[in-house]
Amino acid sequence: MQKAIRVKALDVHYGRSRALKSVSMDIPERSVVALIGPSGCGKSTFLRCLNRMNDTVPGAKVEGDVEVDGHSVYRNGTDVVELRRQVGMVFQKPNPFPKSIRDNVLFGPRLHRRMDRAECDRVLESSLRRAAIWDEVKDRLDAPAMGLSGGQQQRLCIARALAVEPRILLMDEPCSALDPIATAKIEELIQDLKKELTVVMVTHNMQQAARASDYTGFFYLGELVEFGTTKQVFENPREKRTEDYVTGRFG
Amino acid sequence: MSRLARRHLAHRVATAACLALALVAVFPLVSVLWELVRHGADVVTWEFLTTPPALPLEPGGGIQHAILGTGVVVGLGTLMGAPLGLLIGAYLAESRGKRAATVRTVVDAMAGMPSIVAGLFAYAVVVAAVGFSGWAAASAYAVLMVPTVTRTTEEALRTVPQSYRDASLALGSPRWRTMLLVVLPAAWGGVLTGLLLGVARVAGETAPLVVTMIATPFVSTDPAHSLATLPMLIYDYGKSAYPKLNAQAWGAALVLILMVLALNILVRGMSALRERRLKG
Amino acid sequence: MAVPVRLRLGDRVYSALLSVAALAAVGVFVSVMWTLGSAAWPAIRAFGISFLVSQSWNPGEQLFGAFPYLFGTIVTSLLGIAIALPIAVGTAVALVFLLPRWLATPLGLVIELLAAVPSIVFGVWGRAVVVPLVRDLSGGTSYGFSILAAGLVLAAMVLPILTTVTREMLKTVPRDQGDAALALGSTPWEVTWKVVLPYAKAGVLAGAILGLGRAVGETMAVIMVVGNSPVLPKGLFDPGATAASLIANEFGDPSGPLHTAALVELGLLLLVMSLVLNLLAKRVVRRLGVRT
Repeated sequence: MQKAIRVKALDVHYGRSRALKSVSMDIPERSVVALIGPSGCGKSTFLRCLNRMNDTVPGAKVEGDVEVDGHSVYRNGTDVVELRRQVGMVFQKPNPFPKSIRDNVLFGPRLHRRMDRAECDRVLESSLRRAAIWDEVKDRLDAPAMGLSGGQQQRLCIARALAVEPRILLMDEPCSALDPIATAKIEELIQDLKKELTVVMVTHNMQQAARASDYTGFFYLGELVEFGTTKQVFENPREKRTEDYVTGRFG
Repeated sequence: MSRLARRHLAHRVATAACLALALVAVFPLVSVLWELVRHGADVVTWEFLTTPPALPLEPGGGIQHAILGTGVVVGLGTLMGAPLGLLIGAYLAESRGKRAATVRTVVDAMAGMPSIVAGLFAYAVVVAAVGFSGWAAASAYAVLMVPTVTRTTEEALRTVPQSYRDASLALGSPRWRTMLLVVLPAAWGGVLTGLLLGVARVAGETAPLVVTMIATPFVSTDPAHSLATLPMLIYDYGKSAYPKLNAQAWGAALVLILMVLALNILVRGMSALRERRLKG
Repeated sequence: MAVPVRLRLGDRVYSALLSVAALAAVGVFVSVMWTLGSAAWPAIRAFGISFLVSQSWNPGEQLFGAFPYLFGTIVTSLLGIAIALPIAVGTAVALVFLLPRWLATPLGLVIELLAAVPSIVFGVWGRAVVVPLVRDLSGGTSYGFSILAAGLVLAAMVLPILTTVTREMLKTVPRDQGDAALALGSTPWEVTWKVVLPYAKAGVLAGAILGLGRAVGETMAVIMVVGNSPVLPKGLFDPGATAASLIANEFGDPSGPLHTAALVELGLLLLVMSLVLNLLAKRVVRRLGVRT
């Protein structure tokens, strides 16, 4: 299978402290990868390297490289704007813009290309369907996004990210602020999404990782301790630290 | 040019524009100070500050009368306005409910009063009674001062942690002693800052003076009649046809702005010091 | 348990004192409105609506129509805001997002100090710097004393408050709004222009309205650069006059009690304008929801 993302010896420093230690990982296309590990062990930092969102953190230094679809992300000529169109992100706390549902979803596409009314409607419906929220909002597309419930807002953010047609979707603990029903809905739609794109998901919830992902990476103190199929990592971990974590002995 | 390239270009252009606008924003203060120093620096001598005016066509003379007069009017205005502002601020800091909300709205409304309107009010009340006088000007200043002092006093009192008050009240101290011996000492820095801010605000106001006093060249500290003031003098001399007076207007303006800026910087310094002490 | 009488008295006096102060606050406001109203009454009764629309202000004939001055006030103030707002927004963006902290802090301080400059000093500066500038801009067709000069000076005067408010508003925009836009593939400018500024727009608008309120009441700076012409200006380079500048000019030497009353009425109108703008700013904050 083609590799969607190849990470080579990624090292990240925030000022003096080292957040990631020489992490390497190959992520296959059209799969769901869960990143687990205790708080503050570098999972989010790793995720944010994949779309260069770490550039916005003052004092962050990145060494090593990330290849997305065969193209180096950290090389000098990379267009960060185009990269972020191809590698989308959904955040921990839903963060819709204080605009209408329509304007939220179409925000991304409108940046990148001009669309006529018909095209706008098509993109809007398609994105909202893929995020499993079309039926709930189709009658109020011009209503403010802030009026939606937390779970709906998060699905809206997913729709917004999908609207620019990324190949890869990064999700940073997307369900941690949501109730179980909303969480279940999102886990379901992730299974649908992986048919077309690659999902990399940070999660604190091991059951979620076990349920929803094909591959799992365990991070501890900035190191990628183990990476393999979810089944193998949870049932037959190679490293003791992994075993301790997934059996709940710490974290 | 591709759309992407255009977007990147727009970003660079807009960033440059914002930086340029920031430079433009700095220009007025720099220009004002530059012009004042350029035209006024030679004029400001010790003699200038301590002698009364000479005749327009004679050389020399100074703005002693205006400095004295400004001191009198600002001083009286502060004496009239500051205590009221302090009390209203204390009231707002300790009260809740609809009455307090009304008072706050009123004070907010007064804060926006154009200074010339305060002058007209003082004219209608004080000048009508005792004629153009320092009292009238001071009254206008007082009216302008009250909202500023009220707001800053209220803020300063509110920053005193409720636990101080609770501790004092729990020990049996009545409200008024709590305020006097516990809250006020804790907040006095902020209150003083507010007072100075109020003074700085009115010290440069000219419009109320124009309608409550007549420009006079005499040295006097008697508020029952018109007094000379710095702002009025600057206005008068600035309009004048005599070049010596024009030059002296610049000197007086330089003196005024230095006074006001010094007060402002003092206030900021005090606030910054207090904040640093609070943060430990 | 008997509470000492002294205690009760102290607190009673204290409460009474505060209540009196509160009453005094309202009392001063009410007496301002009342005093000005009654001082202006002779003119209000004599001219009614024509005071607002008539263009002839003629002390000699005891005829007072204030339209040119109200017009001048509104035009110069709006002009001042129109000039200052883009500068303020650009400056605020630079201070909050573009410049390093060690540069942004002193620069912000310099701009805030501008607010401390007395208006008469602005007037003197305006006459020395802005008027010749306008004269050059007009290619010599104007002496420089003009609506434009007044607008420029007013812009300099409201710039600090507009910049400060915009700066504060930009700082309150949550970080994840910008992150979301960035993650969708925006350029940093697009983040500022399409997400951050719109998020802050209610606060910025309220600040602009407050600045307008300040500009409306400005007297001494305007009086020295506007030209003080009784004729309705037809272009930016024409001289004009504002309500405040007229009051300051004519109050010292009125041609009779009706003249004084008319000037007071003008002052009352200025007060009403600033009160309305104050209320409007509060409305905007509530309606568009300033999120802090």
